Amino acid sequence: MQAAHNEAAIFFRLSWADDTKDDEIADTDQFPDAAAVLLPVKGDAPLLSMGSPDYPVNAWYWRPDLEAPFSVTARGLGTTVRSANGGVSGRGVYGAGGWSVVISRRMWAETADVAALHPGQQGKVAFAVWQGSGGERAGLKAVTLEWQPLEIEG
Amino acid sequence: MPVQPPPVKRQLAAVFDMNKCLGCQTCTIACKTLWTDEEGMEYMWWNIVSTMPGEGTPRGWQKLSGGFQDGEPRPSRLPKLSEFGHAWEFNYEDVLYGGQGMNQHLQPKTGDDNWGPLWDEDQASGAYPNSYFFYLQMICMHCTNPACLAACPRQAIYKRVDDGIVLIDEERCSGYRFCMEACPYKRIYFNQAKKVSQKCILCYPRIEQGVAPACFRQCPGRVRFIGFLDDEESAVHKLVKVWKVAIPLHPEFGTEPNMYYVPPLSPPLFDDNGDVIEGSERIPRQYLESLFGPDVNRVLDTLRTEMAKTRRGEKSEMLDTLIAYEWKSMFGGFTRDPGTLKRPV
Repeated sequence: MQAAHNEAAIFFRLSWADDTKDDEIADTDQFPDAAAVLLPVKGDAPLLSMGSPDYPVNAWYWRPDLEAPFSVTARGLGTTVRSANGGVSGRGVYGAGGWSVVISRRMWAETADVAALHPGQQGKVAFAVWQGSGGERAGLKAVTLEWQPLEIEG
Repeated sequence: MPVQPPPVKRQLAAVFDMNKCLGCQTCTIACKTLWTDEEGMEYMWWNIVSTMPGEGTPRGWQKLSGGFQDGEPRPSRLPKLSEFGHAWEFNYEDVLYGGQGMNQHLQPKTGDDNWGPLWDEDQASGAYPNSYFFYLQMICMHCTNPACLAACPRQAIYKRVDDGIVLIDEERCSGYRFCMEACPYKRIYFNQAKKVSQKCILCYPRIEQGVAPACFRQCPGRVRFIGFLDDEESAVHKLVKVWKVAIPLHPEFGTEPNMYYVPPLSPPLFDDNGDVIEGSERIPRQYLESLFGPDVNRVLDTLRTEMAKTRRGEKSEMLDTLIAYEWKSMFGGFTRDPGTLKRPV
């Protein structure tokens, strides 16, 4: 995991080992690899339940078979809906036995249903990756079990 | 406990009279041309008529499990595209238009496929002259306790309260395919172009305007009955609830399907001299029990009793209903002419 920002946008690079490059849905029983950055929209949003009605979470979700990553907001398990994209973009490269994926977004949020970020902020963040060849999708994923501190240098 | 949908006000149900099915697949093509002729849907058969005993589609679906046992989900697995059978492309250009008609024969371009839907069509079981087969009509069962609905973590599948039709909301579907795995009848397909799961919708836009689903309306054999299960005037209600001669397929799957079947009667067996063995049946009861459970015996006995009545010159309202002298009697009021509908622009 690496992160950087240029005041206008923030960038996360996720790198992980993966022996199988699942970059498309080639069959009805196959799933693509995926990665996501998860942020609380506000305050003490619970992580493992994917937020709650009052404390939503915002994910930036990348998949190699989709043109671009996109933003979703969840208010509990199974409630994920697409949210304002706010410039979420990214790209993944497979090589040397693993993925390297950069997911970025503009710092400031344009709507209330996504995470607002700014230099000097003390926030938190979580990450998830999906192993397509293992049938992982939805809640079947490798996830950071606790929020990780996110300090955005001001 | 798995998720169950809220109770419905009314449930649409159907009866398939297996004794009348000709295996012509007019239903299959009616559905195909109406709903599944777009990119990503080439391999889909929301309606299919399989030869039984046989593998069905996807191949060997009856052994894939899914559904519920004692109220708990039974694990299954996702079928592969090769088990559904690829949508073959044929070399029509060469044979029909390319001037090669004398030296090329019609064949799939892909070449090495060794399975497809209806691969074992009309392939009989048993030995001549006692061979037998029959047809099994399959669409989505629009279950009362749908395993697909319970399995979806996105709550993308819902059961309509007004008619019990089970639908997938493609806006919410993420293509995770838990539904496809959970459905014990394996009636759900994955659209690789749209990356969503799709299945029979019981022609709900037609139903809403009083028109029977395409596979029902187009059936030339008058095999298919539809109606609200609680509509006492409907043939479906009489066959399922009153006379109880239509029963669910694989009731042990635990999803309470709303498609019912009048099980197939058998011609008799011949002995070594070619003489009819009186009272014998070509289709082993054990096989029919494996499809419909032990209740199939009661139904076949009831049908035979009614047939004996008519042979004595007595009336049988049940058999008259199954014969369906008047096609409108089959559709529980859903008799509007589809030709009077306006197509969406």
